[in-house]
Amino acid sequence: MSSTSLREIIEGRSLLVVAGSGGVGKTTVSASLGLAAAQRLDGDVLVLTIDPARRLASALGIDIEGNEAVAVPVPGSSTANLYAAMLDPGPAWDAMITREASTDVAERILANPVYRRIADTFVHGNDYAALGWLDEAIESDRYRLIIVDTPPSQNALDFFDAPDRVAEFFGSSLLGWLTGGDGTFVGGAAAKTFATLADKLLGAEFFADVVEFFQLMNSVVPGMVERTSAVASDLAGDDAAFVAVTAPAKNVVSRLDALAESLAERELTFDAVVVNGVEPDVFGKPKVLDVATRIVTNSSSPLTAAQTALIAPGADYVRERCEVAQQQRDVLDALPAETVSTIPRLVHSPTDIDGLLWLGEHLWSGG
Amino acid sequence: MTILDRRLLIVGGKGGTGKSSVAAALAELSAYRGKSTLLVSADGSPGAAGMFGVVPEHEATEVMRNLSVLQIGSSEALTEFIGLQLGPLGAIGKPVANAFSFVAEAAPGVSELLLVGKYAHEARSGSWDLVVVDAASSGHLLGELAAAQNVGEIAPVGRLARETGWMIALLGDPEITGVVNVTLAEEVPVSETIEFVDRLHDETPANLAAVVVNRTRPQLYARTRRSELDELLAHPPARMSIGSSGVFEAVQIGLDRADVASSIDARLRDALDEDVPVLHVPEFGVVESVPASVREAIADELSL
Repeated sequence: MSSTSLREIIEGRSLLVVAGSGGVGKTTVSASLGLAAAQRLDGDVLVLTIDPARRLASALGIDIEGNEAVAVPVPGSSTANLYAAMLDPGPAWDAMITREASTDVAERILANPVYRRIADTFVHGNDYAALGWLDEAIESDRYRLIIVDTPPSQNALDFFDAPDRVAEFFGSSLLGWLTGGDGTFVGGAAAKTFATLADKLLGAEFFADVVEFFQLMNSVVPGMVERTSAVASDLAGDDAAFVAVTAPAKNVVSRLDALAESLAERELTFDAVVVNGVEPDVFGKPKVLDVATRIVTNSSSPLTAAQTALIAPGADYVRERCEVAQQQRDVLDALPAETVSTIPRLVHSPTDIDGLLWLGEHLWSGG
Repeated sequence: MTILDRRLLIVGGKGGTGKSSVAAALAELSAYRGKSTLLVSADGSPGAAGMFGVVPEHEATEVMRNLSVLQIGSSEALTEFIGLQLGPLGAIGKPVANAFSFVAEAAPGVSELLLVGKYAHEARSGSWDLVVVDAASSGHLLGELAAAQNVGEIAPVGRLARETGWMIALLGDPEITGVVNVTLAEEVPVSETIEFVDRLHDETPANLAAVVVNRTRPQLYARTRRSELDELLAHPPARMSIGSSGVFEAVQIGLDRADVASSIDARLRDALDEDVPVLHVPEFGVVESVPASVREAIADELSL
């Protein structure tokens, strides 16, 4: 089975990237690993979540605002240094702009009416802001371990492509064609038609704001792209580990395959896979299935007739879950990764710090 | 009024809740009820429109009596909009459309507006009794539904802004447009649904038509039988085999799960306005077409 445990992987790295499709419990896994690491490692541990849901904060029992890392009190440990931060894309973009642009340019960008919403609507805006934020966290050199809870997306590696996409977006020759060097439109029928069209559809003033925004960004983008590209390479470097979170179902695991393929294109692999929601062991015991079946079919049931009739609907449920457990084992056996941890399907999914502490302990000790 | 009496139903929900299957089931049910129905996939994948044995295209394709499907993306919507607004542009059309789509991506809300504009246009065209949309997941959907207002604010003049008036009116009329949120009787999905409903109300003109709790299980036990069973589980027979005690343990897990699901379901019900129906749909897996049992379950829930 496991050649390297999740614990050993975490102990050897300074960055942990947690990826997976939506609804599999990435945020929960990230937070619990953060707690476990903070209890056991020397130095500060940061969990950065890019998921806009406030679940991480509420589960950890803290209030996170803006992009400030907030200290998380760890029950029963006065030495554990855990911090949590939640990406707020707006202020993160502001910080990047302020850092890269001259005061004058930064002020004009921040005042541009198009700018305010662009970070939210630009497809890779959040990923990009996260990289900018992460750049500061890494450069500050204050964290022993940073755990990045990546946003759910079709392809979790969009995150790594964000610098290229931003460079492409702002550096496009199309844009040069549109705005000319100095803000006047270059000649040609197509450009003129375009300007007419944009005026008609969007209004001249709005169009002028768009053009101004792109022109101002020209001086800022190269620096931003350079910094975030550096972070993206850190994330793909030797100090970083990838943990995929998935559910024990064929259709969810198949999305993992797509992720593994795009990792392979970067010559990367998953260091570990966490399978969340595996039926507890009791559903995997042949004797349990056997007795449940005898109760449901009322043939040589070990119970009295009245007890058998009473428990039969419950036993039918047990029989069904035993079948599911078998399917899950098949899925687990087919997983390509060497390090596989499982989290049992719990009656109460961990939504508070005690649940997360339990889960952290479970994963740290081998899952 | 049942949810199918509207002209436009926008079905959204967290990934993994089965929103496409529910959208397909609602559309199929509507078609079976004799309504001319269009099913639109608008979340960038064939989704619901792809569940009827054809690959959906940008033009509506009839897949069965009373039911047509199409898939739209923002770039097709944009090209179509430009064509409608300016007529054929000839040879320079393509670079101009490319340049415009570039600015549209940069201009906040424009591509969302065009996407919503496309399905809203189908709903008001009079060609269909009902348009069902398999929409983007919750966060994106809020952005799309708010786009008409946002574009109106940021670019108050121009033809695009002029288009926003009718869209806001259509989306905001609860008799015409309804949003259906698909969720599961689990902690996180229900919390997200409650948050979605609040934000839908605060940030968009659209109204909630219903919440669908997907993959619900029938109650295993009526109340009286349940107390008898609790008694048995609390005082199991002495000297049970490993298999029998395992069954007792596993049955207890099943009951605990059912109890948690009911309490989460109750929390959802409490958080919603009383007049918002909560529909419970049983598990029906990943499907090619919608099983009759599910259509019937939805029909029952809708009291049709």
